[in-house]
Amino acid sequence: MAGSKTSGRKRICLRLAHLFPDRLNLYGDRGNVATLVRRAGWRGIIVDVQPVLNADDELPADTRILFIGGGADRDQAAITNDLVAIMPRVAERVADGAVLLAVCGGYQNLGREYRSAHAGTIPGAGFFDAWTEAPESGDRLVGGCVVSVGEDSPIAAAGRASASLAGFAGQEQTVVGFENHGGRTFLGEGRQPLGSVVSGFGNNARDGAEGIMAQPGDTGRPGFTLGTYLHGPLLPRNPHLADYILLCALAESGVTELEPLDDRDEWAAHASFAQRWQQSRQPR
Amino acid sequence: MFLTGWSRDPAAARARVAAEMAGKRRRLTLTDRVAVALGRGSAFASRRLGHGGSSLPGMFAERLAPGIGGRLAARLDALAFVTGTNGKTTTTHLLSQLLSANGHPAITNRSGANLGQSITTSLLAAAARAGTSTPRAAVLECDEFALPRLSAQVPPSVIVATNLFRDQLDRYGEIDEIERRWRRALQGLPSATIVAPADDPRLAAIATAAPGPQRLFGLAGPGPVGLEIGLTADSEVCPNCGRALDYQWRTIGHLGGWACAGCGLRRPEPWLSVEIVASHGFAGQVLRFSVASEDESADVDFALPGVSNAYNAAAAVCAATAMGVPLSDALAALAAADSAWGRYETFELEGRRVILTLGKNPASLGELVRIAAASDIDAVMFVMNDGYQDGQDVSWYWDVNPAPLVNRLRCAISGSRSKDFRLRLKYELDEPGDAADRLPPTYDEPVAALDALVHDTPAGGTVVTMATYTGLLRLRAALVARGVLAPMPV
Repeated sequence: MAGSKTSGRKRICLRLAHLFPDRLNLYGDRGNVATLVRRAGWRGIIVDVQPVLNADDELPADTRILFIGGGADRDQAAITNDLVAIMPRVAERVADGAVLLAVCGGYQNLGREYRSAHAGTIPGAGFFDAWTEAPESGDRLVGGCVVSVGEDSPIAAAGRASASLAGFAGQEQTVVGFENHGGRTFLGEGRQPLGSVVSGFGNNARDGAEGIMAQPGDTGRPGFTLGTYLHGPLLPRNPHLADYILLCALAESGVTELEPLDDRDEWAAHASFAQRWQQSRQPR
Repeated sequence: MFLTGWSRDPAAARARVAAEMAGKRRRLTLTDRVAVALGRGSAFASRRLGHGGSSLPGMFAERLAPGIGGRLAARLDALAFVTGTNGKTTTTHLLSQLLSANGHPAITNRSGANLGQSITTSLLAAAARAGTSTPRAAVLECDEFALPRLSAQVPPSVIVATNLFRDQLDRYGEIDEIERRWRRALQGLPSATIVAPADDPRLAAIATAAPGPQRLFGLAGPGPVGLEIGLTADSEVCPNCGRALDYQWRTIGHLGGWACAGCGLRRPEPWLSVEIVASHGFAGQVLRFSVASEDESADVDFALPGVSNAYNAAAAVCAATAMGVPLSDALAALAAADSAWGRYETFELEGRRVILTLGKNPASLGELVRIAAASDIDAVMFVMNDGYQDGQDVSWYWDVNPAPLVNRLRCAISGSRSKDFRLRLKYELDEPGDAADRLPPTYDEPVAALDALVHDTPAGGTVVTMATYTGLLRLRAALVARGVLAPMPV
């Protein structure tokens, strides 16, 4: 399965910045980073992971992937200042074509603001055109979530061959993950979600949307950006999304296609998760 | 094996316990006594019907005589609640052995059924046993979220808080919420002794702020046995000022020798320190106990392995002494103590040794990986379920590193999330080539996976099972049905 095809060529090295891994690591977030590292490595591409612990840590100009995970309420509140401080440099990297993936708490934190029923409005980093409201009731949206990204999505395209090879054709049209959030997130006018909710709650349990996504070239942002509530972690069970992120990050290096991997275990986990969470449920 | 110098006057200590225990004996009303009889009957009936008998009788009796659990518990002379994320069942089991070996048989909820109604069931069962031998003490395992409500209904004399780890996020929200509730609950319990680990920054701070007496325990540093395990830590900020904590050494996750450079708060000196002098893999360890401000120490050969059980042992010893047992007597009983059901429970199957263990979150599974990596075992079987009691969010698989197992030992996987766990293992293979062929097989039934591993293990070899809570119950029930194991005590 390993990438003998690419090994003869010049070694490609991708730099990945993991933002605040010591404070935002609630939901197996290291699994997302591990997935990108291994899936690239299996094709002979090296991913160099750089933890960014503080707002004044270096964010090298050749950073191609930025990842931010979720934390407990206390940790998320504590991180706000650092996030706001580092955001201009993150936006610069994305303007240069870097990919940004923000999961759960990181997704909320990168929005415009967080309107809490009890603690007033907390400003966000303003990277995503989205805002989050926490209802008075404190009900949480908890469970597995299955999101349809559509047949024509480039994410689906990135996994079509591997899903078919593994005997799970069609699974590449969904992204699956676990969600657990009290906040309800709403997108600005005309913003594109990751996809539409098939089962689970998504952004707000109302409009059927999950996440926020900008494709390369959208709204003056060359890099692919994705904010989502889905964890579990997100990428191991969604090899198509992981490969799409790698492809976007590799675009500058001239790589347009990735060698398909033996993803039987990935798609089996994906399908089994979708099956487990196919029924509807109530906030709790 | 251990020193006796500490029991300054054991006879006087025993007399004090007896005097305490002979106090307030309250009468029950007629309704209560009827409820006791019916509850006892329904426990018998539900066991016969195969329901395990652990929460129905309590529910029954509470309907008939609301508050009966509280009234039954109020008749006791000493009541300890054992709570925390990991180690509740083991610490409860150890503490009740330390008490009964020293002449104070205690009521416990032995099935690990630790929610309110099951606790009432345990009290009912004991109350219905007639005669003078009725236990006058109780050691009850208590769910983290149920502790505030239960301790308001029935004020305990001792609260043992084992640790606070991330566990079952989908069900419990975050550990910050548990901390808030515990702090509030303890304010209402001015006379309860709190037993807590000095090595856990949150719990040390909670115990120190509590109005009642405290008895802290801790590891005496890393000792000769390497302790560090790779684990995502839960809480590394100062409980006082929120600054990131500095650690001189760590044991499990956020437990260790901590200090805050900001406000100066640091790990308090524990009353009881335990050092791991030698460890023998799954076969147990030698623990050295010492008390602050005293020069003596005592070594105990302890049947349960691992750092987590060194903590559990220290917690049980602290609680036993808080309940009046002399330290040297508690340590003598510890040397003879055994494990609770499903926790390092060891038996023979087809000439192979099988060890059942519980791995339900990153801390407990990480600890099992560490013990297994240092043990001479042949195979490991995982049962990974995502039922409500297990926690439905299985992202924590990625906060444990199973590399030492998957690359060295024969493995098998079962449970409702076997595919997710297999995928997790794939990421730790030394060589990914042909991963699908090198990854462990998955089975629908846990006992089928066990049979397969036992079959492939040489005679005299050892198979260890690591299961989430419902996975352990299912596997154990299959072994009980086969007559290999005795049913869990109710």
